[in-house]
Amino acid sequence: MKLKRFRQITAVTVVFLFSIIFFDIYGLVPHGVQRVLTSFQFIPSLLFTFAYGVTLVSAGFIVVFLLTLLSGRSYCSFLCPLGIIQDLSSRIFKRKKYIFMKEMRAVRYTILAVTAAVTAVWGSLLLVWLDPYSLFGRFMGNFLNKFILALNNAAAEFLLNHNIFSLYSVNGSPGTVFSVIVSAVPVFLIIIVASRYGRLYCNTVCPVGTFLGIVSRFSVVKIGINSDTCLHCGICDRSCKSSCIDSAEGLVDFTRCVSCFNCVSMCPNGSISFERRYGKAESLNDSNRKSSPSEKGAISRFSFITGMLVMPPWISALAVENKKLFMSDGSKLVKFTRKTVSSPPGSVERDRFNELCTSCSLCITKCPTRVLQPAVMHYGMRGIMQPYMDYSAGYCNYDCTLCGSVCPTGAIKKLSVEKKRVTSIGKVIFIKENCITFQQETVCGACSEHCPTKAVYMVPYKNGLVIPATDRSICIGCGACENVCPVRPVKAIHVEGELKHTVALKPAEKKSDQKQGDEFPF
Amino acid sequence: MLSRREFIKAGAEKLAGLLAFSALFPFGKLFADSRYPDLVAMKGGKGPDELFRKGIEYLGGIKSFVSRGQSVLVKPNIGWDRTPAYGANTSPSLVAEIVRQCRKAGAARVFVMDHTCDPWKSCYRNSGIEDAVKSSGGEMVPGNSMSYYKNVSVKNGRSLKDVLVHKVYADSDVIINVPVLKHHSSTGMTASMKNLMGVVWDRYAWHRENLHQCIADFAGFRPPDLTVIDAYNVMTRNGPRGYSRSDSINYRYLFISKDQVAADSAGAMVLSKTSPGIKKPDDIEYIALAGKAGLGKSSMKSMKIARVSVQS
Repeated sequence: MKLKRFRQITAVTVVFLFSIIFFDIYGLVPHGVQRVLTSFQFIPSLLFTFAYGVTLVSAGFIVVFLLTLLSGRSYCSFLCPLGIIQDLSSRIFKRKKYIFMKEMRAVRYTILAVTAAVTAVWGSLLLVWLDPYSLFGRFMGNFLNKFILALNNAAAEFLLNHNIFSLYSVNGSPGTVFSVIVSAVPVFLIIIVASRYGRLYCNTVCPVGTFLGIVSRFSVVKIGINSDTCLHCGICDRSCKSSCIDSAEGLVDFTRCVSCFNCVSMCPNGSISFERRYGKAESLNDSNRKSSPSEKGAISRFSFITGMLVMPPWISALAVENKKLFMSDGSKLVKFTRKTVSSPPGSVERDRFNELCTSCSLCITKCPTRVLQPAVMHYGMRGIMQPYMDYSAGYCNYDCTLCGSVCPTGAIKKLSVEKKRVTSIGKVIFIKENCITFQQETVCGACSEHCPTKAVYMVPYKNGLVIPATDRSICIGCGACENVCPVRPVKAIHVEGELKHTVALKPAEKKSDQKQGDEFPF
Repeated sequence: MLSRREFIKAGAEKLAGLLAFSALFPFGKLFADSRYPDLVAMKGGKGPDELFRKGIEYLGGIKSFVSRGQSVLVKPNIGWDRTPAYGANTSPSLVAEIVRQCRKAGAARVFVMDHTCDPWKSCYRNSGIEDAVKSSGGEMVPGNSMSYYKNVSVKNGRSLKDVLVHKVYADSDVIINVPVLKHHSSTGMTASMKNLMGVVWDRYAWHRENLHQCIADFAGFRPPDLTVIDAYNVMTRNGPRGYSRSDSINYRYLFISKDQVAADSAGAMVLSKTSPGIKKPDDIEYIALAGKAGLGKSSMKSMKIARVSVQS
């Protein structure tokens, strides 16, 4: 009982802390908290070590590894947020008892082997879809976060009508249909599977689960059944989320055991214990039992309730979208096709970035200007859901280095503010023919106003007007100019991304031409 | 002898009578034009807050603008995520001083807001204005969501017929505009009238539809009751965002006026020293347009100016 309670309290705390960082729409949680929390996620910590060599963050996966050697797959029950929400799902929705199932050995080891090989060659290509933390992160960041946003905004609007400004609306797009589906569906499927079959996903698909399963064969402390006292009552089989106890034979499949201790607390006469075991792993004989749990009502009720919870705030989140004005005549505008999207500052090089990022969406959730958005095919097949700079959504704030501070895999390097200010992720392209000043002969200059380095500056045009000109050597590709350009449907100023980020020149600083004024100039 | 309570009561009654009387016969307003200058031009001092404290007395003190129980909007420029040293935003000390005086004069609530260019939370925080306002009794109001704005029609607007304006601008009893004077890459200069772009939702619509005319149109929608231009540390190039601290000159001026056009004209004259394109206020197109529309004086010669130098 004690062990199980300890596991439950830790697990709930971990999910609670993760919820806080992914739902922190006001940006109140210090970055250090996020770093510490994500460091203990196996894959991110491992990738971070590939990116930077051994650092403090590497301690995360080493700790997980040692923990597994000590006490089996505790990571899966105590620390993995995707595992914990599966437990919650089975706790809430489970109606039938579990039953021992044989291991799908071929499937899980094939997935592990392929993932390891692909990761070694192409980086995070498959981890994007298989790393449990990243699956969970996307679900939280691109999906559940939007409800928090919508609820907050509804509450803020309500208070606003009573002239109370303590809550405020948080700007943010509800996401594209693609990003929502890709983020929500896998986790929903996993939750639904968990509601009937417990940790089936973790023991069949998840490469981290399989890998730690291999390690846990050698664990010091393990679950074991005392064959002298065991009554073969089968209560432990039925309480095992991993379906890995065969009480008829008195065996436990350690590679699938997630150290949840449910069996320990359920055993009527204390025949199951979690203690130091000698000898090698005992593997199980195939069992002839077949699983046949079926209860159609459970699933349909489940989806109905989720649908009820999910739809209304979703619709209102969509309604928050800003009204957009368009110039009436788009035919006169020169078309622009971006060849390369920009990757976030600190991602150094496109290939490196695509190989390290697991699309956990933490940076996307945290980005204060919302310029970071999940990619569809912007990076090609390998970068789906990875963050890219969407200058229609926002622009990169000159002094902000937040994405690099929170990135758990090191795909986005942490930059100092000084370095960030000269890190060029793209270069400006001005299309004069689309410019308001060219088209209407009125003043505009919004692009130059926002340009932090004055790479976009104003030069004399006709009738005393001024028109933008650009200096690409000092441009850092922040996209402020493109974001604010009021021309529609094709803007007059764009940023073309750089595959390899460069160091931009610092703008020349002129000395101040005058000291303080003496007399009034009138 | 009168008890204290009776004394206060009697006093309050007399005051009420006086208020009612002056409401019927607004002598103050009759006198205002002759007694008070069009423009109070301050310079020197230890900071813009000190200049305001001394300068507002030339217009009869804050009490001639704010009465007990009123709601006040103090509208600084908080457009950019920059620290005070760059002069991209209004000095926090000046905003704090104005908020404090309004509260002292009995204002029920003092709101401060800007629809910023950079991310608003960073602007509010890093400009130092959020802290300054909160510690002096004001309230920071967000401007980042369309739901805070309401649609109003602009009378006599030529380019701007209707606009989504922040509800605290539309609904507050008193409006005090506290811009910072800066060079501006598009319009030549920003100060008072241009600062009001921070109370509307879609500023880029103005960029599409003749910016100068929109600024002048909106100046006539609801002219602020008082304008205080922070020209202490003036960004004279690379405005409105500025690149480095060397972009600004420490002029140490402050202009206070009930006439936003007059205040802007003074600002234009300061920038005329560094901007070759500006020789007179009317060289800023929106000042000329507002002057023509009868919103205020744009000729320095026609103004009654109180020039005050404060020892620093």
